[in-house]
Amino acid sequence: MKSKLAIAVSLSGWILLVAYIFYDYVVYDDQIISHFFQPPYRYELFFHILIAIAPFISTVMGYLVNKRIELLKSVKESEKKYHDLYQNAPDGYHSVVPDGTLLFVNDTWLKMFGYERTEVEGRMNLKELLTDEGLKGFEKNNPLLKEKGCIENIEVDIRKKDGTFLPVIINATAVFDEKGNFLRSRTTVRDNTIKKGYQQILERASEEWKATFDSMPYGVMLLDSECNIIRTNKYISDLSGLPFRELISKKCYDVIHHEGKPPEGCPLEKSVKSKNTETLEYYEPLLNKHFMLSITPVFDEEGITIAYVHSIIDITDLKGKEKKLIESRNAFLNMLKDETSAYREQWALSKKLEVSNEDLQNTLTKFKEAQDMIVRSEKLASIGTLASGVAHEILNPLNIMSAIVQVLKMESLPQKMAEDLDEVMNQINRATKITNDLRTFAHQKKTVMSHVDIHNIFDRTASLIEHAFTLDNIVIERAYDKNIPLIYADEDRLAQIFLNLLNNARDAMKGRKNNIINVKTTLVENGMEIRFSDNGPGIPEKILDKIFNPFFTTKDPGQGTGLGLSLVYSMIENHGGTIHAKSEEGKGATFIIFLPANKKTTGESSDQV
Amino acid sequence: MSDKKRVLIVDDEYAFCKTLKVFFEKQGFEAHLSTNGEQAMDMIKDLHPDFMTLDIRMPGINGYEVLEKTKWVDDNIKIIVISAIDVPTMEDSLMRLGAKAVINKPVDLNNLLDTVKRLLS
Repeated sequence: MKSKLAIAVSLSGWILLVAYIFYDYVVYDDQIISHFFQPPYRYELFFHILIAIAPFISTVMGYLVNKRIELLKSVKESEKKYHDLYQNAPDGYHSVVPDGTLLFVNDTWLKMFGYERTEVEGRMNLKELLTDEGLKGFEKNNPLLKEKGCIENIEVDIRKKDGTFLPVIINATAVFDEKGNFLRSRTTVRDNTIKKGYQQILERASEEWKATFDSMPYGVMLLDSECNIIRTNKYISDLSGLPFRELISKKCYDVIHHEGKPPEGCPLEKSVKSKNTETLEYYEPLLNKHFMLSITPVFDEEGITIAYVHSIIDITDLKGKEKKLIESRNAFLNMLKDETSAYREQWALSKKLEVSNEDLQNTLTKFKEAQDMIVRSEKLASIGTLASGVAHEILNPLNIMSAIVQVLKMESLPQKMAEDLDEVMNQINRATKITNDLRTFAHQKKTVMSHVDIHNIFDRTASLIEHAFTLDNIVIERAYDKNIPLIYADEDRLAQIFLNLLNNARDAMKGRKNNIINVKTTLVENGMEIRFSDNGPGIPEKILDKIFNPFFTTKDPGQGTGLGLSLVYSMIENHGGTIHAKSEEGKGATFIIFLPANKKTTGESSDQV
Repeated sequence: MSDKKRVLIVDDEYAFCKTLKVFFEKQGFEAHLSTNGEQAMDMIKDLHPDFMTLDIRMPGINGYEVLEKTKWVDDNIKIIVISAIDVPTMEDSLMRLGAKAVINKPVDLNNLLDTVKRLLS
């Protein structure tokens, strides 16, 4: 018995009994027993019996009181527990009525979102705390909750007091009254920040990998052991011309080889057996390309193969270069052979044949360069001869047409006809220009070499076109090296070189804004360097080695003859100089000219160019 | 004999000669044409034109020869060379041989007319 009240109640019966016996003893002395059982009045007997059983009654009552108190205590304690559970549960809890008003929320909820209880319960509407997207979700899920009685794992963002949004997961059940009307929700709200964070990291990582694979300059496929494509990259999609969706679960040999069966020596079959990386050089006749195929198995933690990584590298260019190298080497060896037979006696030659492999390679490279130069020069020369003959033959008919058109134009003609004649005249002028350009090749004009100031020549050339360039938003910047001396060169040709390069840059930058052509001269060993840079669209790498070839043009038909840069090339060559171009697509182009300084003696001997 | 100025057109392309003839007649000249050097020499002797347009590349007697020979027949004839050959390189030698002007093909007729007027004035 823990409660004092219960003890008091229990003892009260005993106290009553003892008190009465004491009273009887004082009043009746030795007749106490007889008085107790035979009182003078009958009702007294009833009273005596009552007193006699009073201790039992009080004890029972004390016990009951004690029970009651314990019950109350335990109820209080469990209520405290539930209260704590409710208020401080690890998840937030709220209850909303159908219109969205928050009926009550727990402490965790308040802590999560930073609101005060007084501003929330019965006052705030959940809808105010949702994003537009969340609001749509609410409008959709609320009827669902009413209908099904519960909703699960709804991801939603709820606005905190500081204005930021907290991503949470919501689970809710519905509370109905006896008639089945939807009263309110019981909703748990779980902080989803970490999970969402991981999700974002995963998504980003996945995106990054996808981008990485897609940007690879070769094909990558993930295959199962049956050659089915599980995953692939953009290269494969481009190569096969099929979108990603259609590639998945196709056989890899259907996509690449179009044969309906794996190619001979398929590295996948080998790799399945060897569990190692296997490679194969493969020629695909349909695409006319050489590929390096390789298969690498991917293992899980227990060492079981789960997939195969199939990479496909286009080695057509390499193959071509290899072939050319072999051809050049054979040609060179044949040449050496001929020489050997002719000068067999000469012991020096036998030594030559013992040239180390490395030397041979160097010689080959030089040989190749020389070959290129000869090819280019020959091309230019033959075009020159052709051009001079053709130009005269073409100019005559052009002349007749031109004259006829001009005479016709003197008549009063219908407007339409006059316009057409103008167009004919335009076309004649166009053909004339092309023919004249062509003839410049054959133009066996004597070079007039003298000591000239290169900066002065450039300035005079630029002054001819600078006004027109301004209209095309082109600024010509100059960075002259004042230390450059007079050089021995042909003034007219230098002017022609500058003019062609300037026009070339202008054509490349047409229609663009803030165009800059930068001309920088530098004194270098044995001569000078002129760098012509523009900030136009640049020259694609694949055509960089072709731009000096005669008739190579990127312009629309009729816009250029493709001779401008090859003229520049040959004119610089005639000066004993060199020109080459550097460019990164999208970052403009730079032409780098080297002109030798003061080569007066060689200058005179090459007068007849 | 009319007081119109007389022109002789010499070019191995008949179509060109004919067109130039029409042009000069429209401009009030008396125009004659010849498509080869031999005939041209005969006509120079007969007609004594005031001026003459002359092609250089022609079969038979070519423009150079006509240019030289004309000097001996009639020194007063103003000769305008109209040619498709590369003019800048040849201009000097043609002028030395007695040409008064050298015009590139295709001919700009306005330019030609200006030249003629300049030479006859």
